[in-house]
Amino acid sequence: MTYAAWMEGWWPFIFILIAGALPTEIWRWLGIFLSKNIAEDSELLIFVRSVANALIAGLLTKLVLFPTGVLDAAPLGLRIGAALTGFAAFYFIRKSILIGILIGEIILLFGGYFLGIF
Amino acid sequence: MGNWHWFKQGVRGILHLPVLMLTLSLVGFAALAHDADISLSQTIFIQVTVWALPSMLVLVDGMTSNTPITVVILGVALAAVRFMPMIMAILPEMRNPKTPTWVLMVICHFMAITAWVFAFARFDKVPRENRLAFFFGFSLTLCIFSTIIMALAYQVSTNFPPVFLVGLAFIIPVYFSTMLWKSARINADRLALIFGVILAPIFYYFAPSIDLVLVGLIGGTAAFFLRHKVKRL
Repeated sequence: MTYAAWMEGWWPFIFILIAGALPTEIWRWLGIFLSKNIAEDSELLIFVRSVANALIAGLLTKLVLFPTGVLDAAPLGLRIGAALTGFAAFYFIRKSILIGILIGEIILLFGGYFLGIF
Repeated sequence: MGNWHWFKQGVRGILHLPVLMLTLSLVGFAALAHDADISLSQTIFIQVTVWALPSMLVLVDGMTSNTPITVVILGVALAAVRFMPMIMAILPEMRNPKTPTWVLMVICHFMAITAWVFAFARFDKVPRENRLAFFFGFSLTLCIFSTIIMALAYQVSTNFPPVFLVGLAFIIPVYFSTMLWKSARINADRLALIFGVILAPIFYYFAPSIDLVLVGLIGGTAAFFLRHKVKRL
């Protein structure tokens, strides 16, 4: 059973609730109910946080390496270079998220401009 | 000064930079959803009911690649599992014994990385009994504001110049990777982020429909067991 199974009527909204909202919300609820009982630095919590972090990092990497939308207008090497430079700028310049984004964007957009893409 | 005062202080947090970054990321999400032929009402519905960009991206990834619903659920659940430790870390600092559970359930729906980092960093200036109001003021405003901007952007996204769309799409990976790195508490968190980056292309190549789930489980397990073997990242 997939999203495209029934495009009509309420199915897309039910699909979103079952496949998107519920599996997200369940962790928020569990966090509330367990917050009285489990220490935040317990082994189990470190493990689940590691799994989540690895999955999200994988997701973000896929957005850069295999973009499905407009980002594929920029060549792969430029996307990788801009992402790595942006992150390095963040890492080495006061852990500033703004600086990371600005440097990454400058490399990507000016790089694209000089390559004649935009 | 009561809860209402601190709620309004939270609302005023909307003028901070992370709000702009998240909103631009969600505008990027709108363009992505538009590209994927997901309707405006569905896109708004996703944003309001899920309210977690990584989950939303896994969901859209699954919707467009015709992934079976069980695999989408698993991927979204693994991407969202971080909310449990996040809430367990922040809740003891903002709940009080009299707060009903249903109030916490409503307020925690608006828990996501931007509001978490924003509120946690400012709690030392907010009286304990008003922190829930402060958090709710900020996170609710953030959700409403960014959903309105996102919905407007969805409708005009075909008219954006390509260079603007490319710039927008690029904000998501850089904003979220730096934000997650910054909010990471221990080495395991940071190691897991690095393993995720390295493993993603490998599993995308070998198992494209379940790659994210494998990256999370294998990369996360490796980070967990190797976390004491490397120096502080």
